[in-house]
Amino acid sequence: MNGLHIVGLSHAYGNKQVLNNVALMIPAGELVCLLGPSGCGKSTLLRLAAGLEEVQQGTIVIDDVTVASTDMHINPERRHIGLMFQDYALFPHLSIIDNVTFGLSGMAVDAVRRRARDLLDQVDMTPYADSYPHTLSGGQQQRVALARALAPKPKLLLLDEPFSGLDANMRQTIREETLSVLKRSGVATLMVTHDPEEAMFMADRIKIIGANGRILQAGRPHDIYYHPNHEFVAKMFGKMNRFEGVVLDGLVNTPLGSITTDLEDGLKVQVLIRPEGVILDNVGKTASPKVEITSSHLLGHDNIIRARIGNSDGEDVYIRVHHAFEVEFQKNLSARIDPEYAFVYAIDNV
Amino acid sequence: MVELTETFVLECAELDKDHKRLVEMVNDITDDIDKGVTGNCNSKVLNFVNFAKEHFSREEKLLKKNGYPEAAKHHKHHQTLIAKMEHIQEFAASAETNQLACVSLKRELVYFLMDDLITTDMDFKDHIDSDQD
Ligand SMILES: Nc1ncnc2c1ncn2[C@@H]1O[C@H](COP(=O)(O)OP(=O)(O)OP(=O)(O)O)[C@@H](O)[C@H]1O
Ligand SMILES: [Fe+2]
Ligand SMILES: [Fe+2]
Ligand SMILES: [Mg+2]
Repeated sequence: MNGLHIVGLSHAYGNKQVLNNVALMIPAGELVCLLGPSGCGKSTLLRLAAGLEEVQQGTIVIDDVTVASTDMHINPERRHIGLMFQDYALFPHLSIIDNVTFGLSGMAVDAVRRRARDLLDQVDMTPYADSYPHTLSGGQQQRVALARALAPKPKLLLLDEPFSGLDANMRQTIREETLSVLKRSGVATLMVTHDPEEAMFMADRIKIIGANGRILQAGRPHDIYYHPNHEFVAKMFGKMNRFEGVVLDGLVNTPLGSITTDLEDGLKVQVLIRPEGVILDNVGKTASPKVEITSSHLLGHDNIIRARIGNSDGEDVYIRVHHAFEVEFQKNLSARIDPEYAFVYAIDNV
Repeated sequence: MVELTETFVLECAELDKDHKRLVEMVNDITDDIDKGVTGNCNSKVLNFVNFAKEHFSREEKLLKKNGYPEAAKHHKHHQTLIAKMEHIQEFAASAETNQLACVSLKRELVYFLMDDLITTDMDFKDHIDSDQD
């Protein structure tokens, strides 16, 4: 199958185990995001795939060719890989077009030119062909870097936090552009990011690596967000409300009402609820507990508000509400849980 | 088109035969989707799901027989796969009328088979002996 296949990859630096039996597959034309805490081995995995580091245990296959395993190592330049790192700077002494043609060896001169022009066109940088890198903005340099990485028609593209040097606005634009260029090129892409929202936006599939270097969950962005398998995965996407309780008759009680679970009766559990999973009502008579808003912060499209449950010594909850929700004009609020955004885990499940 | 290349052979005849069959079933469904023939998707996916479940129980028996130390963990893994297949069936149910469901169905089937199911089986490759009976 065209694309990348990694089986049973483990890696240690000295006696520090970094990657732990990691498996991964990316069909041609698909984009997989690796998401995990700092130091969990994301860049190590990319370096191993690129051939910048030798495999200690496991197998790496690109387009059905084994490029690395415990006892073999094909050099990076023979793996047909495109690389793009945050600090993977352009060559400052070469013009933009020469930066893009740089990796195109073994082709006729006019074919090289055509290919480079075509790529610059795809990333909308044709007018800058004869400029030099230092005259371009960060976003423009990143576009050129993408053109350079794709010019030799790689079988696999490896991106390590490629947008982290850009400001928020530029980052969103470049993400969208990059995605459309990648989809058109049909290359298999492995992208590392710290940013869960970036992974959700870009990825066909997300792989979560835990601090122990093991894959914790793999799935569609939707599954990772709505069906996190682990407490750790649930918490990746920002602040959670957390309550503790004990399972009784398939239910756990929380100060915001009870929630169903498959976990066995008597188990000590934690309930994690996303801020958008707390629903406010102002209908007056309801069984849901009363809440009192104590603070509110505008967060772009939404407000994050903090509210106290019940009387003054109740617990605090974080609630995400529409930006038009003005706390000054609210009264008689009660809160309940939207079970879609609430997850129950055994307390010892880390 | 998915293929069971050498990297994914367990060298255990009965399980490799099952995996090969699963690969054929997925290829058949994705072929249909590529051709735009989605009328049989639902029943073909149901066949795939049923065969996968049978395969899991065959595999788990064999792992126990071979005294594989992580047999319980692998059983748990199969349980999560069975839950995942419910999602895949939901996509299949919409495949005939929704183009995006087709795209997701195809994608998820391939990831499910190659990334979730067969790749994880490679963990016990060195612990299993086909000829033992
Ligand atoms: N060459 C090396 N020698 C020794 N230890 C290393 C080496 N490279 C990385 N490490 C260690 O391996 C672990 C994983 O590093 P890696 O760069 O893969 O993490 P990462 O997941 O990319 O983190 P980040 O998100 O911060 O970039 C870290 O603890 C790091 O200190
Ligand atoms: Fe199997
Ligand atoms: Fe299995
Ligand atoms: Mg890194």
